[in-house]
Amino acid sequence: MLRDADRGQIEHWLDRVDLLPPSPHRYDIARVLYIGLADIDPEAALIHALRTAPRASWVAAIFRSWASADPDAAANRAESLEEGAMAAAAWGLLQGAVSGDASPELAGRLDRKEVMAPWRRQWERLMGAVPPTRISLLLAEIEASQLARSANESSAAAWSRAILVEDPLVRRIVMEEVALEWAKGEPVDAIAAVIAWDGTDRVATRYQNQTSGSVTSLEWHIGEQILGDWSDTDPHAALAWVVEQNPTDANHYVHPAIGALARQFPDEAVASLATVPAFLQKEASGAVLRALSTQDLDRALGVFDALDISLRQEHLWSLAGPVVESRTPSEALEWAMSRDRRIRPDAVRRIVAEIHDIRPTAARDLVDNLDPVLHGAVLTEFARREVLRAPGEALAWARSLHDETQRPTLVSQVLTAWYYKDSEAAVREIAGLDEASVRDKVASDVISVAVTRADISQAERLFDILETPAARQRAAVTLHQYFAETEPDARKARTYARLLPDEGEVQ
Amino acid sequence: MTSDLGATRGAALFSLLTSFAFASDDNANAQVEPAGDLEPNSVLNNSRPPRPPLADVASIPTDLERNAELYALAADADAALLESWFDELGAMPTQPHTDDVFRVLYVGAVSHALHNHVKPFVLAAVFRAWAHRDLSAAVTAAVELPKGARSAAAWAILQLDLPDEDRSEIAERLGVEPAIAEVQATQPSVHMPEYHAALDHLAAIADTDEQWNMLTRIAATWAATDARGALAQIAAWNGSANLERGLRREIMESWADADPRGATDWVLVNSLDSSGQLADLAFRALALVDPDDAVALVDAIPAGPTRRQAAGAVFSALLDHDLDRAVGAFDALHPERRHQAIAAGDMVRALLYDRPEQTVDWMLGLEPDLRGQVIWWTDSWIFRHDPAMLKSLVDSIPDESVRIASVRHSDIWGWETARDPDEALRWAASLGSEEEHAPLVASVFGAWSDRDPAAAQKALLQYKPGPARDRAFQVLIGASLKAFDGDTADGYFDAIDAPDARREAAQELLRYYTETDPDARKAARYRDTALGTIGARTSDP
Repeated sequence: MLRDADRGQIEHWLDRVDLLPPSPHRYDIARVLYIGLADIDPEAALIHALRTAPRASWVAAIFRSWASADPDAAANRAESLEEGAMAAAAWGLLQGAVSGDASPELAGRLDRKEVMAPWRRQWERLMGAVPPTRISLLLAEIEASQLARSANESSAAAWSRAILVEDPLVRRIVMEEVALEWAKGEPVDAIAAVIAWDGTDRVATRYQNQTSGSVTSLEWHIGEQILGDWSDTDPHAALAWVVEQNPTDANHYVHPAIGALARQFPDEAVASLATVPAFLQKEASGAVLRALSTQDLDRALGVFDALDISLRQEHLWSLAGPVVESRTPSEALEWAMSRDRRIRPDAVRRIVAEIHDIRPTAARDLVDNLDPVLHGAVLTEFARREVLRAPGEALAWARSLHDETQRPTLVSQVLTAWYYKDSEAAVREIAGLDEASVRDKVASDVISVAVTRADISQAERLFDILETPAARQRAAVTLHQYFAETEPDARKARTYARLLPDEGEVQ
Repeated sequence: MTSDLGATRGAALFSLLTSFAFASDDNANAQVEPAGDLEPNSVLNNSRPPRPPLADVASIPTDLERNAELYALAADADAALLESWFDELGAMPTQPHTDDVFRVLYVGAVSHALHNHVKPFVLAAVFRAWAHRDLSAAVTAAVELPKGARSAAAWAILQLDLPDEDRSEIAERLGVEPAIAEVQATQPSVHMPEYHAALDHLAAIADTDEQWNMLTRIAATWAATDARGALAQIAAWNGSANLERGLRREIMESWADADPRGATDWVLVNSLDSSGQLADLAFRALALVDPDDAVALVDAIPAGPTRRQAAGAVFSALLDHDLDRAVGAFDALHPERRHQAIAAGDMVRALLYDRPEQTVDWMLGLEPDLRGQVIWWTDSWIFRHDPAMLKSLVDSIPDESVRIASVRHSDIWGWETARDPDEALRWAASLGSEEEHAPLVASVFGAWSDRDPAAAQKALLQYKPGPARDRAFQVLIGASLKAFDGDTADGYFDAIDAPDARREAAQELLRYYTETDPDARKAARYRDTALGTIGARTSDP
């Protein structure tokens, strides 16, 4: 079919693939058509594929075909692609048209854009490790596949070989694979080997499409996976192993072990809390609660109530969400209000926060009806959340607070939080406040924030709003210091110096 | 679940889909003798009995016997033989167990691929063919693979056209994200007829994610067509300051990447209000292509926010890509002492990462008070690299007050205590007068108590009375009250000597027994001391 087809014909077929009856093979039909089109005009094939959200296999197939005819042109074009498409192109380029020797050079070219991203060096410096680029990971996986355990090689021998691999990323992949396979049959030996390894490699993981992530030691990265798999198949043995370990390792690995036990044998998991060593109590009880709360919340709450008070405070956060999900807002609040008085404010704060995420109006109603002590305990956090959601509503609520002693502080907290979100809007609101005393207090508080953020024009606008001499004097101290020391401006420094209090007279 | 493809099409598809993989694999292991101790089947090899024909084995009626024979047959077959069997099986009349024979052959192919350490693409090709034939069996087999092989198999399986629910389920079973098989469509350029109309349209978008997406596309288009004009129009727009700032930075980043000199020139000739917050982007881009020019240009900017931004960006770029030049340019880029600490901290982190052996020398070249500040900024990085290095750098500061300030609020006490609490205590107690090192000693006991409360308490009770011991008891009181352990906190209070320390501790305990864990009797015990009407301890603990 493809042998005698021209570009137009193939593009026509490609446009009709979506009209075919749905079947698993449909995308593969498109892939083969793209191979045919790439043989004629690879650029046209690529443009056609990228018009919609293509399958990675189409892009890979196009570049594999392209590379067999003109590897330089294919590599040049791949370099111009966005990250996702480039990774798919690399899969095709590295397959076969390019010889093994050229793979690192090609990978380096494709990697350049991702490697140069500023966040990567910041990660390296601040966190000591950075996630591999997609291309380097692909190349390392190819190399690692050649180093996997052979059929006649023992796991221990494969591990001994793996830890000596020179390239850190390849080493990590091979170690991980060997250890996980080893652990399927001999988890104790496998985890012992991992713990005994004295390397310092670290693994960085970036959360999808964000600049944040985590860094952990390779030992723990592999160990956690071993314990996770082992616990799923034999939680009793896994937990028995954990409690024999030193406190640091035990605390790290108890979560998957006792969590799996709680999911499969909840009675035994709860009973084990009475026997695990004291240094494991916090992590073990947390893991049991988290597992139980998804299966049987009432049971989890019963276990919670039986814990030592300090552990109850530690674990409030893990139960607040499930409580709110399973009850009405007032029932959830009632649960919080019935906690031990020592942790009651914290319980109410967490429950209100969880309710606010799903039903903010209900949360506000609950807050408005709390007794004064609890009301004071939740106010600041609640105000911050309201500002993030709807700053105008938050301000209206703060201004309507009955407690006149708390109202100015709350209004100031709301407007300060608003300033971080939208400085222009916040300054406009501050200027529109009726009460001069409240306006002065808020403006003074926000001036400090503005100066810290070097929003000097905003700080000076706010200064112009101030009426009371005391407020102007305090603000003048801040602005004078800025213009005298931080960003020297003699004229402005003199302006604010005229308002400075004499020594000892700051009010 | 079995495929609806006929046996013939399955065999043909296998050949098509795997032919590239096996034929062109650079490894070529797929077509040579298998590795290890398996020997290729050969009629010349008189030590092994001849293979039975596939047709004979495939027609064995009982599943157990047939599969055992098939596995034995496939165990030492090479790729070419496997491929020929697929052809042969496809040409045979379909029998009730034909699918099962295919399954065993696929298992054999996978085993062959793993045994010969084929590249991921090869394994992916096998699973692609298998998934077309029998998706369920292919997924079940893939689940059992080692991690790397499983990812390759997953990549192939998820390329199929599957309902979203099936795709998600399969991805979860295989431990991958469903999106590994997809590529995002290229975002088209945005053509807006008039700047302010475009900005107003942008401001009207309610959803913040959608708004940011549109902002980046608008910025990319304007940066490519007329960055200067766009920046001028944005400056004249009377809209949201946050959107303005975001757009200007996006435009500048794209512009500077394409034309760093043009972008830098624009920053230099525009007023601070126009160019503010953009100098870093332009100068970073320039530093990446011409670091000498960038450093020289920074030197020509008058002191102020623009120069500081530019210097910071150039320095950061040099740290990333030319550490030698960064070291040489440090003084030139940061002439003002008040701006040196943070930059020096960045330098230390970069040195620790790339040239750890030079870190100490560079830091010893800093003035002691700056050195102390930098230690404060970078203690965790230095400690992670070499705990002894951190301690020696602290000890290198001649002025004791500066030395203490560098570690006063540091986590170093927790780290050192974890290593050796007695040694940590000795070091803390060696710094300055007892008044000066009291907070440091308290930090050691606080960290010690977190790890081993009994040992910490014993050591503290044996510690010589004085400000340091009192301070440590205050820290432990706070930790005890945090754990709602009032009785232990009460005991620590009784051991405090100095009136001022007793008053502060009593205030904390009064607050606890009044607000957190109301106990009128205990509150009464501390009230007078908290208010200052009673002073020194009247009895031994």
